[in-house]
Amino acid sequence: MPDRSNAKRSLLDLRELVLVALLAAVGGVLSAYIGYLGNLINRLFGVPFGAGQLIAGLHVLWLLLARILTRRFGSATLTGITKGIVELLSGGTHGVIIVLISFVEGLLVDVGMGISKRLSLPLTMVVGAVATASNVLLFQAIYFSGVSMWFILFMVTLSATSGAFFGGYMSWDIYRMLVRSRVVSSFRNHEIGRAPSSPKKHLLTLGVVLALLVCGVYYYTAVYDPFAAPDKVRIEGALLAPYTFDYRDWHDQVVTVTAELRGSSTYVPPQEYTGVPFSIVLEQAKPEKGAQLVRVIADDGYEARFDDLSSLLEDQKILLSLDKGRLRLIAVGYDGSYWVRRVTRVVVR
Amino acid sequence: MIAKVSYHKGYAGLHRVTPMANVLLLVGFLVAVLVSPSILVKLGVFLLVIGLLVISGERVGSFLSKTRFVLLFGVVLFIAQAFSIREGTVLLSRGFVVTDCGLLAGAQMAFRFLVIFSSSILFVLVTDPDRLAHSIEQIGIPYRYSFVLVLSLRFVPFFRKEYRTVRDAQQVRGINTSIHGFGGLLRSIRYTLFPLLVSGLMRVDSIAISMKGRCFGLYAKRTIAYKEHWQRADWAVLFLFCLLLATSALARKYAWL
Repeated sequence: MPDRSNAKRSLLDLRELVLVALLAAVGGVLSAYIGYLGNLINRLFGVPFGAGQLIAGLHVLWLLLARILTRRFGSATLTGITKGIVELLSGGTHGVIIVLISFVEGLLVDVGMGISKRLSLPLTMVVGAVATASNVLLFQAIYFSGVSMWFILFMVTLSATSGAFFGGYMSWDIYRMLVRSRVVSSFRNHEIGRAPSSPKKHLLTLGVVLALLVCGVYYYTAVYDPFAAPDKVRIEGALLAPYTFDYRDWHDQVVTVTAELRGSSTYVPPQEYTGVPFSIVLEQAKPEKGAQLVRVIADDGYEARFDDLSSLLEDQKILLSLDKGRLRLIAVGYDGSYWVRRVTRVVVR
Repeated sequence: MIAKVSYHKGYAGLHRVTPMANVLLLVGFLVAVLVSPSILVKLGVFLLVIGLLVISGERVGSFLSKTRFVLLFGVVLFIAQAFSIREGTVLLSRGFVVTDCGLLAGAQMAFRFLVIFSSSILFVLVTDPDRLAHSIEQIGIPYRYSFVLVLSLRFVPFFRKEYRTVRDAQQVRGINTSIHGFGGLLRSIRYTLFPLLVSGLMRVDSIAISMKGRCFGLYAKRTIAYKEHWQRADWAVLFLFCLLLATSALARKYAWL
């Protein structure tokens, strides 16, 4: 028996699927045109690259249009993935990364537009801005991880402004034009002009979502290091001989101390800890004259700051210990907050 | 600008491999350059890409000429990283600071970009888009959604033609679409995007009705005209994929240079 409910189970109906395919194709084909415009703008500003972000919003326009025209969650994501693959197969200028970028942009459009059932210009502009800005953060995470945050912030602002205008405003404008000219009369256009339920509530929700999103992106791109080797620590900063500390190479230096951990909420009674003296680890890196601050950083971004390097170099009781396969700082004589677990970096300033 | 790269039929190397195996290989390259911290691994992967290009019957000279812009951007990435990172031993200090960590990070990023882009080009050159679109269905994605890619790829030549028509029409009517400011930019976008979009949207209904008339979407599964079968070359690619994963993991674990 044929499965007649198949179409009903589907997220998008047939006409919407065709629309998604069409918008993805236009987006993919016109990416070359947008690249050409970007080059013209770069030439206008006299820079080799970067100014093209002024029209980055045009890449998100198609995703927003798909979401606005279908009013279905998932349509922008599907358009994004398809557009990315079309762009890749058309020999686009970004390689396979464009599939990831378009997917994230589509997802953000779907989530953002899902905040309110009512279509509104401010929401469309904000969603356009956020989705477009995500491309800068992804590029930063993949290619520009060491570049100044101020530069990235500038590019994000440029990109978000473009997204708000060329993505948000333009999709809104095109949608109205299409409705007026009855080109899309068969799509769900009846919701335009419906009274808002509570704009303040929506803005507040959007604000919270945006804040969480920005914090999340910052944490996962700039702080969290999921691929850090468990038993190694990078010793870097104002040093004459920065190196990577490997616990297995230091087994002949291991000592045992007895210490108790006193934290604001944790107390561990005196017990024995075995590890390599932190002073030897620091000495090996030959700190530069004038260096004072030592930051001990964990893989999740947590860090303890020691203001006096010289006292650390003299202290033989502070250890780097191997605890359940991960390195841990045993900061004997210091508050519990200085006992850093899962240490991956030590930065001397 | 990057010269246009597109698939062309071939019978050697990766041309003989199924599209999904090529996707797997591309993923392997990505994992290797994103996970592995080693410059040597990245260099090795780049050489592997070049080797696969040669095996697949592509000309390296043509490939390099197509990627001139990429090499230039790789240099820009290298300089950006080298001047931004201040950690490590100072090698040069003349108004700006260059450290060994900065140079290392610059080389990492430049190679990362080079490998991602060159492997993408390799993928595009050896993967038939139509076969790829149909293969997606075979890995379990509902055909209603995998067909979106098939349809989208069908639209591409249509929109390319429409785009040329629109640009020609602009020239015939004497519309100035050159960019001398924000107004010019807006005018260029408005006169190019709107006609293209409207001409496409006018066809949505007829295509959807035509597909419905052929009972598209009636059944949960549909018959496949051409089924991809894994051959020896696909298993070799799978082996290469596993090798890339293992090398990346080892490079990560033992912090290879």
